[in-house]
Amino acid sequence: MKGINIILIFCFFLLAPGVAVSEGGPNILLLNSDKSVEKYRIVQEEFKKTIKYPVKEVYIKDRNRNLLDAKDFFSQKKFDLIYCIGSKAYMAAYRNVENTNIVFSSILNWQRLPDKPEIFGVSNELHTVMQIMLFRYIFPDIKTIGVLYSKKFNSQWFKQSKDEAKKVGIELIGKPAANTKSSRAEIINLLTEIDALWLISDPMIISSKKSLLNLLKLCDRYKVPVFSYNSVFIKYGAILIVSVDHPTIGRQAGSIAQELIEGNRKDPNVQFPAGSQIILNLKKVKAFDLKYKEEALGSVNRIIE
Amino acid sequence: MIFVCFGLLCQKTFAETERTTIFFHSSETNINNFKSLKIKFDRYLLKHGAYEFQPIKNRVAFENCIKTRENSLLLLSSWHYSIIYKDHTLIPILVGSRKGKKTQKRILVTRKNVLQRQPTRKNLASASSEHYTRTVLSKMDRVSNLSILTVPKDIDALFAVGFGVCEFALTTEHAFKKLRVLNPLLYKTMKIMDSCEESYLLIIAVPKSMNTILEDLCKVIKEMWKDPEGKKNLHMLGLDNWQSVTSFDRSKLEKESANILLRVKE
Repeated sequence: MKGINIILIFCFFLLAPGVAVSEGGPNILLLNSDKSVEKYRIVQEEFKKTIKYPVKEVYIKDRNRNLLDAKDFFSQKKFDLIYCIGSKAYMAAYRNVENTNIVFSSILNWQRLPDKPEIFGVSNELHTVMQIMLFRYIFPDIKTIGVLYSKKFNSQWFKQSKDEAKKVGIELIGKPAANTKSSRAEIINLLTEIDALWLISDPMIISSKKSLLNLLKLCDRYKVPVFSYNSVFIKYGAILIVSVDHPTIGRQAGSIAQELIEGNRKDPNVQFPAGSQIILNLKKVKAFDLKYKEEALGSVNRIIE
Repeated sequence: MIFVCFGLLCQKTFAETERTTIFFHSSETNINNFKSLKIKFDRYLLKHGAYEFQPIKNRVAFENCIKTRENSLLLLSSWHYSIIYKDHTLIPILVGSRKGKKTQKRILVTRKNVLQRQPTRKNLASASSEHYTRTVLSKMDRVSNLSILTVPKDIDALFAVGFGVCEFALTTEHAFKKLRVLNPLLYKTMKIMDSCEESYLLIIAVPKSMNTILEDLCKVIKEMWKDPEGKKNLHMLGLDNWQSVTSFDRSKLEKESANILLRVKE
């Protein structure tokens, strides 16, 4: 009877939900903000391939359906490291976990989120110089690039980028907008001064689909090529997209997590993404009669013709 | 009318099944613009005959294609060729070239302020497969406990070092020269720690039993540089022309095979 009781107690602990059977290994949680988002799935897969330990995968949402009560979940379990994909996962871990290393990725403008010393991660924004160098690599004749930006969100970024651009022989000409409506005349003025327009992530400049389309129509009329950071702008007429490479981000996050588990602190806490993806709209390049470097096609991931 | 349509459909299907294929796989580079490559190469090749281009990401799948599809051309890295040519009785016909040169040098680059001669537990960025990267590092007699971060392009590997993501980059001399033009200031912060001897660029190989169809296809490929669209396709592979493989080149590729096998035994 005593023996049966011991067996039953053993089975209870073996089958209890959420208890990691660690076998001496670290307890790693992978928290995905939304199961339905493809880029989250990509970084998740690469993270799992990179890290040498098994991970527990949990999803906060699947499209509009909530899957997790974060407070309840974290009150029951303790992890050695948490990898957060997306801002929902990040905030869930930030609010509910203490004294645990957190690694994040796939968050737009991560600096807007609250921070702790034990948080590490990979930025979703490529280094400014890297983007400008790649613009120049494909379009070597480009000397002046215009930027529309809001003082509220990107004043500091523009100032730094202008200095960085100068070092690589590019003049960055900025048009700050105090509100969502930069006058048409002001934009046209800018377009006549520049070789290309850099469409950046700014909620005031890209405040609506209508404002975006109006801006791109003007660029079309004045035959000013548009460079940007997200492939979605290609269908609206952008000529060159330089964006992050999601698989590389997953691998970087995995590498950071591995180092933290092994007791090696990463410095700096947040890395720039190491890989880039380039889309070139050759159809538009021909329509604008632009000169580009054919040799650079070896670095282009997708060509639109 | 029905019989005519049926005949045309059979002819089309027949034509598709009869296409001679160029299978492509590269372990040395992370060329992953497969969709664009296939569209553009197919468009170019179809102008010259019943040919098609098939990039294959997975090495095992590529080598299976060689076994099952004998009447085909192969486009692969010289390193990979050196490993498999004997087992699949392949002959190298053409080698890619860039600015007249059919070889390139792999280099190990770091920031000037990294003082250690031998890396300890450090990160290395590389646009090649992990297997190939470790092979090159062992040729350089570099310790293998480097953690490798695979990135899309050789220039990305240099950026990874330049912006502090990795301590080292395994890249090409060609990419490093590109950086010198694009960002002289960043270039000056880096140094070459080590290098390998030159290795050949991409190889076009055929099975030993070459027939006239494959010979014609080789001619089409060799003359790609004369066609504006063909030239663009070459650039997508990081090349600008092809050269014929000489007997010297062939024996060097075979010697490379012996070296690889020797290191495997060690």
